[in-house]
Amino acid sequence: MRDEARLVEMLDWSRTLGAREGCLGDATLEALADGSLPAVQTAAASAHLRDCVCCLHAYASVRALLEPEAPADRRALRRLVATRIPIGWAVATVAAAMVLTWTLTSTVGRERGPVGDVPLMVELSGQQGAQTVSGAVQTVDDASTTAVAAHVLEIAGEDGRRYTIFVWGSPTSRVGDRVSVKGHFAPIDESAGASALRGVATRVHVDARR
Amino acid sequence: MGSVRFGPGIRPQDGRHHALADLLRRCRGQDEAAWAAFRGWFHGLAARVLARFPNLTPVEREEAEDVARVAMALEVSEGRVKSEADGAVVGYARVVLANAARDAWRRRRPSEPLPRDLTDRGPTPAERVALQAELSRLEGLVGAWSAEDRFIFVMKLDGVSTATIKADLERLYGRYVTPEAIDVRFHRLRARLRWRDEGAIDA
Repeated sequence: MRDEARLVEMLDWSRTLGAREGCLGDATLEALADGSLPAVQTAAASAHLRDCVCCLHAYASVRALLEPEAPADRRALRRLVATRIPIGWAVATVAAAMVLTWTLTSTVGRERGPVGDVPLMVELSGQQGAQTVSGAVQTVDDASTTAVAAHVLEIAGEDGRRYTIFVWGSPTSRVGDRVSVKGHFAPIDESAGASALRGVATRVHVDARR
Repeated sequence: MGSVRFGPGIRPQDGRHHALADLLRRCRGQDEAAWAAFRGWFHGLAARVLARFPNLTPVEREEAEDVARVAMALEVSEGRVKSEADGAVVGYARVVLANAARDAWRRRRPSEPLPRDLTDRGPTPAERVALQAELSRLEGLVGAWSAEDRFIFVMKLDGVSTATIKADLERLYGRYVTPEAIDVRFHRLRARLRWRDEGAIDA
């Protein structure tokens, strides 16, 4: 699969080498893709696509964006399913999933401080219960697996609480940065009160660099 | 075209795509439902365009999408996107998204150079030579295939659906190929392609 991604990347760049004689411009390709190009020009452009793989790729890129579904997402899913995962990574993935599930499910049906008593699915949908906390980043730990980038932030909140937050994607903040994190949070230990919380971020914004 | 349901994508009603241009016209008329549809369409388009920039983080993608959507909505509401053809609208949105992606990168990493997939400059002379050589190898390989095979392979590689490829083969070349035949041919072509050292391609 990697070779195909490279192929697409190379074809993307091929257009930057400069148009060769007879190559089609963006406007022509767009009109050809949406069917608004006059018949004579359509015939000429179609003939060119038979011989020029660079223009064919440019045409396909526009055509894909006029598709009713998200082919890029389907490709990514296929790649994910087709990837052979080493056993260690597989174990790490399962462990991360278990921690995440535990974090979320342990919030169901309890009084949960800042989140409130919200049905889990409503909460997960992001429609309700999300809150924003601000503070300084104390630690940034990688939690990525083979196909999924993720990390965990430890934040000393401006409200005096300590937050351990799971974040999808590669880190955008560093230790010492001041950040605002939108997400869902719950106390780590009910008996200890709400001074330490864990949660899942839906958005991280760096307010100020260290 | 006012009755066309505008969901996550666009379906041509008569071989031409103009549902999108119609949608933008309705947006200009302060139609709230049209703006809601615009938002859904733009989100889907942004996901596809920004998927080409793997160096961006999810937060940066979200930022780029937000910035681009606001910019495009402003252009639409002020009547500066006047195209009657969907291809041009999609092309315009793609440029807006790519610019927003570059800005998102620069905002968060002001001292770092743009990665290759985000760069807005042409290749350096050295890159140009390497790219030209690589491209020649590629063209040598696929040049041995039939034009129809090339069409199927590149279209599939870019994520175009089998149904659309079938429709395009009919529309552009008068060729009738079943969806099953398209998929089988693509998988055979894919199996012939093997990547070798340093990006060289072998059959």
